[in-house]
Amino acid sequence: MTVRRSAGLLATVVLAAIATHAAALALLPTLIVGEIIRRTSADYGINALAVPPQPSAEWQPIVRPSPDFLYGICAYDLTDGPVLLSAPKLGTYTSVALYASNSDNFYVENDRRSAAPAIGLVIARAGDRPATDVPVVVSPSPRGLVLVRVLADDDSSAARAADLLREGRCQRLR
Amino acid sequence: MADRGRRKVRTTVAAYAAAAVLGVLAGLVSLYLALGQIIATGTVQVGPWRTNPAIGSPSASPYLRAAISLAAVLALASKEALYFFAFTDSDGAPLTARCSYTIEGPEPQVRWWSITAYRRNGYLPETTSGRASLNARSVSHRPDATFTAAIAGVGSPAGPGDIAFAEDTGFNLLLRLYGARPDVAGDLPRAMLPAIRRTVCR
Repeated sequence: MTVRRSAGLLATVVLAAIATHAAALALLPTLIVGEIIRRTSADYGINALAVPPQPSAEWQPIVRPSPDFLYGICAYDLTDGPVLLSAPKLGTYTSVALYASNSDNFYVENDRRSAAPAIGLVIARAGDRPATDVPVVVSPSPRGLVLVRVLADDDSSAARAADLLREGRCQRLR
Repeated sequence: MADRGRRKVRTTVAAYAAAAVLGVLAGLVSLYLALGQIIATGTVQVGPWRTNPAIGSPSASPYLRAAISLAAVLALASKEALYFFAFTDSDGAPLTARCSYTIEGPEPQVRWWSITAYRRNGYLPETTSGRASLNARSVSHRPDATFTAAIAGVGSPAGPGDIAFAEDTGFNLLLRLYGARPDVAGDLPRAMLPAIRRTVCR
């Protein structure tokens, strides 16, 4: 093998390694969140708030879930317009977190940040002008996830929290 | 002569294709190792606990964002919750369900906190108590504002509030702090976090 050919092969290995490393690094969060959005919308629909079972050793749809929380989840799609989100405050720690398609938690609010009886907001794209009197949050991506966390560290509080959380909404703004 | 030339071209193409495949594998393996190190070392270390204040945030580096998407996807930004990972006890030994542990230290001054055990792959383990999490309500509180809790290894006696492993596995812990005061969140290296002490091994 000539020196020239050896150098060419080595350069191919190095360039392929750098390109793969960089591409996988950039795409990984989007691929993982995209898969969660795909599964959530397949199981519960798009722009719909679902209350799955509380995480346990038998049911854990994502890595490192907290078994102390009941989760409400909504895969949103702003293609057809803004989405209205409403989550009741349940007298215990409750938070609403919005995630862009690249996994960034770009907005979070909890039950103590306002005196209103529910956490309400509209998710919109930049440039949308939704007619609403609740806070408008601009999503950096047209699709994303809403995660509502409700502290429910015993069976009785979990059952009550699940009933109340189902009264929440995640739907296209009319 | 023409056959020899074609054979040479085929050999060259095969060699470059193999080099490209090798490069792709090297790229994936190097990324996997780098992402594992980011979580295992963190940028802030307090005893056995490791964290990075940019977890969940749009200001996270591409490496941290990718690492968290593998290790704890959909984490909250630090203004809402702080996450500390522990892969060893306070003496630096890897955590294993063959041993039992005491976790003790100052009661975190936050709205809510929990310590959850996960298998090495990041999923909840089987426990005899059905509990994989210690939290502000389950641990024993002492008059001096400290707490103590236990993780029982496989086959070891356990109290009702303990994590009691039903499977022999290596594990790690994730400490979550919700509603930390801004001075705590802004000075993580000085955070008063609990010690993880090994008590007995099989």
